[in-house]
Amino acid sequence: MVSRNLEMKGFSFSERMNAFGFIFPALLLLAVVMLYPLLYGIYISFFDTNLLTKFDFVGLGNYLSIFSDQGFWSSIWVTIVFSLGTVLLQLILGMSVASYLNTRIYGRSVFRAVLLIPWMLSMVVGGLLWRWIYNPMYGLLNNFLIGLGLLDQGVAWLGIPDLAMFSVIIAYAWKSFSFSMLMILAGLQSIPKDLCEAAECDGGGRWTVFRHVVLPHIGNIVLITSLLDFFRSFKEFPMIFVMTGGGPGTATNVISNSVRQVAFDQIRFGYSSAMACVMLLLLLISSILLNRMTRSDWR
Amino acid sequence: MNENENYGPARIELKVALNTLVGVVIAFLVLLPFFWMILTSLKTPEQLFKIPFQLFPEKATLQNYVSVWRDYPFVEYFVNSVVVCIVTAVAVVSTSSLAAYGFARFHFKGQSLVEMVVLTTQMIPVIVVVIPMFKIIRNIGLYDTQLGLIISYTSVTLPFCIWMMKSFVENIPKEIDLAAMIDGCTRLQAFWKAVFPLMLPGLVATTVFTFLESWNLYLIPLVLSSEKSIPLTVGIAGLISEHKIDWGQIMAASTVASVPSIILFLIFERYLIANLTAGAVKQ
Repeated sequence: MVSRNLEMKGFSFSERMNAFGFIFPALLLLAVVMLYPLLYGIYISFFDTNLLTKFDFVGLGNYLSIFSDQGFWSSIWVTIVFSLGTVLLQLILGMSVASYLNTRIYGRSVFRAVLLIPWMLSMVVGGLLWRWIYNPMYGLLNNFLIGLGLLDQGVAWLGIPDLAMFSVIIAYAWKSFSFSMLMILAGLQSIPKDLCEAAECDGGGRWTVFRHVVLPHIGNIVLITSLLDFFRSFKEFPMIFVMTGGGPGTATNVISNSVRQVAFDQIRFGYSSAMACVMLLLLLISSILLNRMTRSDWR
Repeated sequence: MNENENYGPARIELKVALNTLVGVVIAFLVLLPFFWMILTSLKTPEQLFKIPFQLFPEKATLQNYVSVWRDYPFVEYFVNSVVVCIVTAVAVVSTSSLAAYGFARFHFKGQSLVEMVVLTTQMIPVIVVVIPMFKIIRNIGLYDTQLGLIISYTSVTLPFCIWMMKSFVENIPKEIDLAAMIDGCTRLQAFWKAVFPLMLPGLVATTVFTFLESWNLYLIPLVLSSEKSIPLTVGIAGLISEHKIDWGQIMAASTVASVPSIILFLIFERYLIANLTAGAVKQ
C-alpha cells in the first residue's frame, strides 16, 4: 500500500519539481556554455563580421559561398580520409592486440593497463612526440629504418603530402587504438568459454569459430566502437595542429583546423561560423543515419 | 581448449609462458614511442643531434627538466592544470550525478527531448562553440582566468558523464530510494543518504575520467587563456617557435605533464575500465 502511494507520488506536482531540481544545474550549465554559444554561432553565420568593428548582415551569403568553396570541401574530404583511415587502423590494431590478450596469458590485466598508456597522453603530447619521431634527420623512425637497411637516407614523413596524411593517421591510431582494444577485449571476454569449445568439438576450425561464434558476439561492439572512433576523429584538432598545422599545403588540413584558420588567421568569424555549422550539420546527419542503420541504443 | 587436452599440464604452461612472452614484445613495441619520449628528455642537445644515431643517452642528464622549469613558467602551467582539472572534476561529478538521478528516476513530459538535447551537445565539436564561448567568457570578465576555464571545461565534459552516471543509477534498485523515503527522507535526502553511497564506484570513475579529459584539453584553453591561466597542454605546444625547437625540453615537459595522468590512471584503472566497458558488454 505504502509503496503504491509512493509510486503515485511519482506523478505529483512536488515530484515533478524534484525531477526538475535534480536536472536543473546540469541543464543551466549546458544551456549557458554550450547551447547559447551554439545558437550565437548560428546567428553570426549570417553576418560578415570580425566581432569588433564590422557586423554586416549577409543573409545566406556565407552558406552560398561555402557551396562553391573548394577549400572547404577539400577539408571535408581530408577529414573523411583521416577519419576512415584512423578508424580502420585502430580497428586492426585493437582487434589484433585484444585477440592476443584474450589467449591464455599471464598478467592479462597488467598488459591491458600498460597498453592503455598511449591513450592517457594528451593529443598535444602525442602529436609532438610523433613529430619528433618523424624528424627527417634525428627521428627514431628514419634511423630505425636506416639501421635495418630499408632506407638510405631520412624521409620527410610530414613534408610530403601523401606521406603526411599517412603519418598523421599512424600517430593518431597509436594514440587512440587502446580504446578499441579495451572494448573489443571486453567483448571477447564476455563470450562464454563453452561456446567456443563446443564449436571446436563440432570440428570447426579457427576461422569457422571466429566467423560463427566470435564475430556475431562482438560484431555490435566493433560497430559501435568504430562509430565512436569515427566521430572522434572527425572532430580532431590538437594532434594535427601541432604535427603539421594542416600542411604541407592543405594535405592534412582537417575541417577543425580549416575553421580555426578562417576564424583566427583571417578574422572572418561569420564565414568560419557558417563552416562550423555545416560541419555540425554533416556530423548530425551522419550520426542519425548511422544510428538508424545500426539501430543501437548504446550512447 | 580441445588441443590442450592432448598435451600435459607442462605443455600448457609452456604455451602460456610463450604467449606471455609475445605479449611482452607487443607491449614493448606499442610503448616504444613512449620510451623514446623519456629517453629524449634525458639527452643533452649535442646527444640529440649526434650522428650516428644513438637510442640511449650516453650519460643521462636531468638538464632539460631543470632548464624547461627555469626558462618557462611551467610551475604556473602545472598549478593551473591541477587546479582547473580538480575543480572541474568535482563540479562535473556533482552536477552529473544529480542529473543522472533525475533522468533515471523520474519520468516527465518531454524527457526524451531533453535527453536528446544533452546527447546532441556531446556531438558538438569544440571548434563550433569556441568562438562564441570566448565572447561570453570575455563579457563576464572571466577571460584568461581559471574560473573561465573551469566553466567551459565543465560544460564540455558534462554530457558524457551524465550518460555514464545514468546507467549507474539505473543499476541501483528503485526500492532503495523508496525505503529511504518511507523512513521519512525527502527525495534529495534519499538521493544523498541512500543512493549516492551506492554510486561510489561510478563516482570515482567519473571523477578520474573527467580529470583526465580536462587535463588533455587544448583548443579551449588555447582560445580562452593568454597569460595567467595557461595550462600544460598549451604551455608545451607553446615551446615550439618559428626559429627554435628544443626537443629535449619539449619531451621533458611532455613527460612531466603525462606522469600525473598515468599514475592516476594506474591507481583507478579497475574502476575506469569497468565503467567504460560496461556499455559494451551490456548487450
